[in-house]
Amino acid sequence: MKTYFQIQYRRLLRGIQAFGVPSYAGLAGILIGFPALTVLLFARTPYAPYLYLLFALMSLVPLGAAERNNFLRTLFAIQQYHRVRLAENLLLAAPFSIMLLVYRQWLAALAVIAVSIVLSRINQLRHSARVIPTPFSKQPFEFTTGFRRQWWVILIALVLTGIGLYVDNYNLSLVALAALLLQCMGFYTQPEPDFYVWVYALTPKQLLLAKIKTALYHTLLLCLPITLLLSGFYPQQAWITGLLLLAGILNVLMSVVVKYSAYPAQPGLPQLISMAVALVCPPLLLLFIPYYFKRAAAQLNPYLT
Amino acid sequence: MITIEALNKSYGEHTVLQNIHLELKRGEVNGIAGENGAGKTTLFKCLAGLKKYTGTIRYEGSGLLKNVTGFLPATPYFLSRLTGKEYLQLMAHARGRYGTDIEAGNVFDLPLEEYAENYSTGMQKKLAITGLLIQQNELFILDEPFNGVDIHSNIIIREIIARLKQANKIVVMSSHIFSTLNDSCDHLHHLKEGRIQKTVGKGRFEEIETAMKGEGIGARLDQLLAADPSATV
Repeated sequence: MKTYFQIQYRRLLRGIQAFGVPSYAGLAGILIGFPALTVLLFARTPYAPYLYLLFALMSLVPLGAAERNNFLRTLFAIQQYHRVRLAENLLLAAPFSIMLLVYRQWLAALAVIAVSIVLSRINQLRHSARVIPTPFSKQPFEFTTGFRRQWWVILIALVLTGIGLYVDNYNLSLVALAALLLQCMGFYTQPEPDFYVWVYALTPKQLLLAKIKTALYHTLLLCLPITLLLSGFYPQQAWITGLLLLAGILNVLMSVVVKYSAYPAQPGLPQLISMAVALVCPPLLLLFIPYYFKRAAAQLNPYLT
Repeated sequence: MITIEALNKSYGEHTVLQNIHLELKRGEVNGIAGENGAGKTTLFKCLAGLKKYTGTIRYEGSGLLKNVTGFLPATPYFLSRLTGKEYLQLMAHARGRYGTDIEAGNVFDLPLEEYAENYSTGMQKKLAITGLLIQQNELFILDEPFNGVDIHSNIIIREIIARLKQANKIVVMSSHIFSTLNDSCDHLHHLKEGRIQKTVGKGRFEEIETAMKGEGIGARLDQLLAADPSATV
């Protein structure tokens, strides 16, 4: 078990290096950045604990991936396997829980720990062979696969919206919309194998524009119901809802061009910093998107010409 | 016709392909035979435009060769949580064929409503081949098309290759099974250590088979099998 965690630590350092950052500097960055982002989040919205719970859940779920767990089961005896799963879930949940304790969110802190324990016992989340219907299947693949992987986030967002409307809490519903938009951005984090780029009979610019068009259309399809509901229930705040949707869509488009700006590698630290800055200051997207569009076109050139 | 002239490919100081010259004519099936690591897949990827190379690949047809090329990798990769139908849609859309009747193109009767990642190896290969067919390509690069498929599918794939030839398409394929190369190919090229050692026409394929046997482990195997089993290790 000790060896397993030593290897995971080494993998973490290598992952940081792959971003183009010296591993220990990156580790220090995470240790400083995580609390800093938490402070920022709690300063900006009163619904930070809900978002925090959502982020914690989103971090824990991938650890339960079926392939990964099947591999772990071949490595460890069953009891040891459960101990490993519990330990890694608690390790991941601890920073979230600690920060929630700092903010005196006792219940939320406890919930994160409880969820991490429960998830460690559910050998997930086994990848079901049952095909989940999706409204995006006519234009595969980012939203099609993303929807099937994270349909539960959409469900949570819809439930939160419903609760927000029921208790007359506009901000809660707005947070749900923001979570959906963040999810759409997340659909464009993993670069696909080169075959799936090469196969297009399009120039790099045409492919990027096609991807942007699909992202725009699908983001609207996913987020418009909540946007319309919010605008209908809170017409005086419709401009805020509209602005959030606009900023969110631009951020989704940013994630499309950023993904391909480093292709076939994953986006590095400079790209991630740009995305984080753009999240905080959306007007910058008007500069960033054209810039990363050009870079993405250059990166795709070897595969499409 | 596709003409490959002086094609070279290296990874740093390691040369994988050296001075490859090939002519791939319409209505002909070209086979590439070679040991593991001889450079077959690299050659196919260069031809498809998936890898950079030095040298020339000329296509005497209209448009960009890449856009009319169908490439079947030795191990096709399928995106997670995408059904067979969606995969085929993606392949068709990628070539601008939006109105393609996917169901009609399902020549292997695959369960298209299931996730492609859950298909067996043979079914995945069939799905990938179906994808190439619905794209209506001009050049078909088939890297080990018979690997992992059952006897029935083997027959169908042979039939497909024969039909592609009749339809005046250009086909280049590799296989480790000489009988399939014998049945399907018009020309066979022996690739060894990144060089085309020999090219022979139909009826003379055994020359390459014999040459490849000579490279093999026959003598060492004989020696091993003839060893005295009572001898202590």
